Amino acid sequence: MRSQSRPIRRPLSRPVSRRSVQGLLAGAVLVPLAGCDLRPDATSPTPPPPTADERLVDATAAAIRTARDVAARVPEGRALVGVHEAHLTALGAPSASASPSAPAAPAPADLRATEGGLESTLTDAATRASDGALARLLASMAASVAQHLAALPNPKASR
Amino acid sequence: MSTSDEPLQTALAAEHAAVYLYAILGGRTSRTTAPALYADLRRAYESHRASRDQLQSLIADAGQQPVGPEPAYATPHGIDATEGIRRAALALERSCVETYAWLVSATDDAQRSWAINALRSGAVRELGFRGTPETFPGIHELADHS
Repeated sequence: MRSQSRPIRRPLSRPVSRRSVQGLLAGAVLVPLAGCDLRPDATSPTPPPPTADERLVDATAAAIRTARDVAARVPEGRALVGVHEAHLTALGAPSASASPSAPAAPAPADLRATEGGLESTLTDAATRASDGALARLLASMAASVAQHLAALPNPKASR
Repeated sequence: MSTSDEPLQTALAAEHAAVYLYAILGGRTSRTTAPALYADLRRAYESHRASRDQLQSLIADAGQQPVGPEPAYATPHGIDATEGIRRAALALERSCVETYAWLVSATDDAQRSWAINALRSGAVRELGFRGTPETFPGIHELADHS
């Protein structure tokens, strides 16, 4: 059981405050900055290795960026680009792609496959996150991708 | 696995309310003049009833007494017409999704997996009540709908 503030038996209550999410975001941003001191100092302590949740966020952000790049090249995927950008921002992850070159435009079926894969990745990450607030954020992102997938035009219906 | 059943009890209380209210909404919807809405309400009712039963089992398996339903719940305003019923169903589904998002944060392991699945199912079900895809379903402070 996580030590987590909870609503008082009110299903309509707001479970985790914005501050929690922002704190999560700030944590994700501050950790990389801690290693950015340009002055060489032999006495500086070695930065601690990334936590399991930080590694999880990094891997998840990479999957989101890949999906964002695929969505950007398919007309049906335009709405998803903004969603993926917002998800990267919430995770405190940079949005720039690792590979700036744009390969050939993928087919709509590729968009569905990529988004379906991302939904699975996000679901798995939500399951594994140690921090409850991070788990909630990742699960919400997975649900968002599921909603957008369900709202995509049905390829069979348009034939 | 959780050492307390309190988060599950909170979710169960929400499901009791959802089952009650979907029964009300279904009872006010004409199967003849609004068949699609009726079917969506019926599916939502059955889904929430299944979730209620699963939560009761999870809590009972942990050796706890599942909370029971309230005798009655406040019914939403404006459910005399089809559009009001649809709006009420959307609001109800969103409140359940919010509860499940919270449950994700308050549980782990199998219980969290269950909550993640419930969150996803509810978020997709919203679309049947003319909900639009959201950026952060279930997280009210990041919501992109009014």
